[in-house]
Amino acid sequence: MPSLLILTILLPLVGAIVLFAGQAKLDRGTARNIALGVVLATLVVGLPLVFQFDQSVSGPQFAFGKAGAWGLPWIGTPDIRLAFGLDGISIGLFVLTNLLMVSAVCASWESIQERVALHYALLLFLHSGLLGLFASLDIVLFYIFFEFTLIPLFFLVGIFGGPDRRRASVTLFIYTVVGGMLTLMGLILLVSLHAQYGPLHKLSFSIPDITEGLRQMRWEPWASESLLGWQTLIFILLFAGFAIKVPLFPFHSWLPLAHVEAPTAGSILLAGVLLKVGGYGIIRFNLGMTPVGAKVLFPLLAILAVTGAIYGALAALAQKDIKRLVAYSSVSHMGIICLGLFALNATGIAGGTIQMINHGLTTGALFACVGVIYERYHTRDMSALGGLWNRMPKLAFFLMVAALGSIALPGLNGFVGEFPILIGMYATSPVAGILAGTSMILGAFYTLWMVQRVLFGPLREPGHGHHVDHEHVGSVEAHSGHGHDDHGHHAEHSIQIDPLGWHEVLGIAPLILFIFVIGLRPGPFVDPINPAVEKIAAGMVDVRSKPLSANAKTPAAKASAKPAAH
Amino acid sequence: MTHNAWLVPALPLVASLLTALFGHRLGKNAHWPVVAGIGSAFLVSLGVLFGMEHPEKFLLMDWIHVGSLQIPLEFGVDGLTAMMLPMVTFIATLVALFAAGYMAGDPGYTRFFSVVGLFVFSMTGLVLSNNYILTYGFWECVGACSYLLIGFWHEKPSAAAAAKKAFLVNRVGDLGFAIGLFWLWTIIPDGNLSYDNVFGMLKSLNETDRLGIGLLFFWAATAKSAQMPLYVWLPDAMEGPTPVSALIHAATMVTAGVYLIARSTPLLVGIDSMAPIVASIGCLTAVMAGFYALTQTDLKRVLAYSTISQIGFMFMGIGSGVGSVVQFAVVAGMFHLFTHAFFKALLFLGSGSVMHAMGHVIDMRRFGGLRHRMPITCWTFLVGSLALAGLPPLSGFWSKDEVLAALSQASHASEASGNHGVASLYSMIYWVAIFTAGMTAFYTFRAFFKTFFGPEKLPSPTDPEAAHDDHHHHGDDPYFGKESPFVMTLPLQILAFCAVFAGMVFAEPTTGWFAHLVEHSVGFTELPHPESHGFDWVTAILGTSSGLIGLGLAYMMYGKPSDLPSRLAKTFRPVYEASLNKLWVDQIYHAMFVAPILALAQVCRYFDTYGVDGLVRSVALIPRNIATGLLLRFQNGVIQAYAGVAALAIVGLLFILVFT
Repeated sequence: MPSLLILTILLPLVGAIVLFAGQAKLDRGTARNIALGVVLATLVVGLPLVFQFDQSVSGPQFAFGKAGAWGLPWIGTPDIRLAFGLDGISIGLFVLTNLLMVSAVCASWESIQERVALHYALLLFLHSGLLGLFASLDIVLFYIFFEFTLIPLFFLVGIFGGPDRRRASVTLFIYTVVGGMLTLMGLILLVSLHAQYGPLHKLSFSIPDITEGLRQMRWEPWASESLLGWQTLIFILLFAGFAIKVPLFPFHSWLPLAHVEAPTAGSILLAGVLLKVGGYGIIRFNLGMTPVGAKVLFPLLAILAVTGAIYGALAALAQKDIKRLVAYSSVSHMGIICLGLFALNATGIAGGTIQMINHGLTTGALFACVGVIYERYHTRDMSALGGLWNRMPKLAFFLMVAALGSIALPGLNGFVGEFPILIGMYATSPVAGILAGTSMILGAFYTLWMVQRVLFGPLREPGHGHHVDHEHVGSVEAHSGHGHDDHGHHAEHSIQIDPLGWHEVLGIAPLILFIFVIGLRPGPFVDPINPAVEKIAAGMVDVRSKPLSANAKTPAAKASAKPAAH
Repeated sequence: MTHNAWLVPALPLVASLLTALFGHRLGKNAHWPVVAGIGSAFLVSLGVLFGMEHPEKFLLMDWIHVGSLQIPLEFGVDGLTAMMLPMVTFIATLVALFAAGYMAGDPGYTRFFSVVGLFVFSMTGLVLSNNYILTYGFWECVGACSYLLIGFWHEKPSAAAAAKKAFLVNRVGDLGFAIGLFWLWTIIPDGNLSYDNVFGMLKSLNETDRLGIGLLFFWAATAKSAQMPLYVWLPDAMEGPTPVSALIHAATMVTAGVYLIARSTPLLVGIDSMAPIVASIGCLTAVMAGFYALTQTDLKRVLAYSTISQIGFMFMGIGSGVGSVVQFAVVAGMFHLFTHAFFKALLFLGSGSVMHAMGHVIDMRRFGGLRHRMPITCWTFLVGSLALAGLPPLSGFWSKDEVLAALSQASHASEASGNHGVASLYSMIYWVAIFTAGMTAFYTFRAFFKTFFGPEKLPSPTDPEAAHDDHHHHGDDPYFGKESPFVMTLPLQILAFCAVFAGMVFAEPTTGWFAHLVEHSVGFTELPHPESHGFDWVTAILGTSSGLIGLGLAYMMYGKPSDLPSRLAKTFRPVYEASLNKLWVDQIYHAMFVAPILALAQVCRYFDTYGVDGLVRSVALIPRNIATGLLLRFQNGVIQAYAGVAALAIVGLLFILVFT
């Protein structure tokens, strides 16, 4: 199994190198076939990992070595190791990456016409980088992948993006690099403090070992609950990079720009996976290694997350560009996810973790739908669109399910994350929980308004007259008559709009399927998360003066504490 | 039989899925799976009703387990559930049958039945759930089905807007429900929100918590059940197909709020400030909605406002639960919910039958005197109107009378416990309710006479609205101006039968079956036992006379040609305008809530573009030239350059580490 994990990470890299090297020779068809083959193969090769995963174990699995010496030796001195493994927090994101990569390749199928091989090579580089990032058990390895993922994304936006792609890619680059440097400083401090004061006094780069070591570290200043304490300082440094990735208000302004300019595949991956790198980092490093910092900074973090959730929703409400709307919705949803992480109890953190996957699915599907629309109408302006339900019933179905999933309708995936997040936050801070709850209303507002403007109402398509073209009427009706929804519009059926192609269905349908499956039967998806999160939440409880709800006993503790206070 | 209760939601769900997947192959028969599914669900629920001896619960599986939050898929069968299930499935079966005729030829025929099946699944799940959070789940699901069905004719901008409005207003209520659940979860020691567990721990909860949670639940109920201040979505919801209005927006879903509060009775018992609030809101809503209904010209809107008003009666019933009246109050409220379901579904389907015959015109000014053309519709509508007006011996009389009696008892009980303020509040509510009963009879018969009496009048075939509404071209519609087909009139006749007898068979003064059933609900055995009261003749006579006066006034004004209505409208111009424009509440809400939110959204948008981003951009200007230079050299080595930077960073890292 450990070799299978490494094979999964390497497979896209090999594909990327082949495509990159063969840029001049490969034509469009071959290049995209290779890319699709590679992402599908990676998805399949990665599947045994899911089925072999032991849900009762909270530590890393599928790794060479054991605690104290994870992975294979790489650089002897210092002992930086080639350590890969998955635990309950990373396995979901690992598989999500594989799944969304298929969607990304499918979304590029027709829309990328030039420098095709380079495009797919970049996608596959990104694929490999993200898999490596989520599987890294070594800090140096993690950081290399963390920075490495930026390179292909930078070029995806910079080469294949929209008219303002340069500004978008440069903004993206600067934000992330600046944040990344601060995170690096934080990581270096962690490693050196652990080496000096840790229980073993040994220089280690292993993430699980350092997490464990820091927890056992008996060095007085480490536990300081002061604003100037070590953990607070390191928390802020680490947080700088991750908060930008998430992006948490007010560090989000690169995101709408990058989304609007990025090609569809870039948007799917950016919103679906790359933002989760930030959330993943916060769980793994901020919460796992500097819990005291999280506690000290809790008021600030909660304020930022709540503000982000509401601000993002309001900004989304004001958008006319559908892609910008979805981009701002990501700001709002990621604010909610961070809120769960900052709830500092198992319910909130586990909710935030599963919600990262849910958000990847719904937003991935939404961006893919936006891509479908853009490819046909070359506009994202919702005032130029309308009534597409009759035109593309399948798209209408996909968009509707993704929208309802994104507004956390019970039975679809969003509810499985959002409700625990809010209840977890409420247990820690009722005010923050209630304020964040208002995003339930605002989220439904902008999402359903978007659906109303795009799908509902009389058919409106940009740039076409209303003359009747009888030759096309027949063919369009034949196309749009997949379902039962063909209402037989008369004059409007004057242009040829392709129905969804197989590649578009292949790209979106699996996401829709998982939106249903996670919503109806979340067990298999949440069960691996719970033990891993329990461990982190246990670290939180240790640092809390009065224990909050790390498990179900807490409300009891609170309730019994109340009468005592009287 | 009760252990088969899970079949009640399961059968419609399977039917819905089958219709969604294979419905287009069935063509005109696409309604069969759902009609059969709901019909058999009804049979199963009858089995549940007769098989139930004491409250039972069944754990089907774990649904959600995140951190320490557990939401099981857990059903319970008790008195309330056993009463709701057959009612919901019975009406749903008839409505589905009716819709098979009403929706015939609609391009979205399969979609319609698929969502209706999904709705029945959600609604029966809602009443079967034995866990607050699971109830919340189904609560939102019925809202989503309602959204999909209000917006069923999605090309109509008004339908699309109404669907969104309904969902959003309900979300405002749902937030209250959610916060109530958060609160409850943090105070219930083991975090298990099953009804029996919560009701078993009441002693350890303090009154403030219970009152707060109760008010939050009631806030949610005002949205779902269209009460003040969140009723505004229901009239607009009439944009949906009429069978949907009958099933969801009259008989079943909108009463979910009443059900929730009735269900939570054990949680709220002993908190005397809660019940008067519920009763006052119910009373205000009842009289206000009745006032709006007086002048509406759209037949469906009249019925919509009457639904709002009648649900107000149900809340008045439940809100009478002070002291020892609690159990009687809940029974009264739920009984009104029960009888209302039959006669209101009947009236809505009747209006649907009219609409079907009038080429989807529903404005009462454009048709009239239809009694000869549509005799079955006319006479069944009359039965429904008599029941709604609360005239004996029809079903509406018995339940309305119980509500009024409960109010009067609440007043006496408060007086007895020395609470004079509350006592006079209840007696005021009592008199307003009797007045509203008269108003109800008036507007109901106004609609009846305008539609079926007077000289015959049909919408002209060139009527623009008739031609374009809902894709029907009534010129070649064989049913234009004729009585509806058998598949539509049969449900009308069955419902008319129920509207006559559903009251007298189950009522307290006759058999008391209904009360006996509801008493067998989770946590209800702990409730104060009602003292036995004789039949309240005074209330019965007052309520009936009020209804008769309303009927008589309606006959005088609309039963025969008369210029009295227009003269009255002129004389009381401001009052007439206020009723016609529904006190401008929609406009006020828009100005107070929607417009500020949209303005704030614009502020955020500009702030984001010029504030946050501008700040960052000015910083970014410095290295911009460098970066642009990099971009120009895509081909020659930026990856290497970047890799170099990253490598340098790592070297730096090592450097620091070696020297620490």
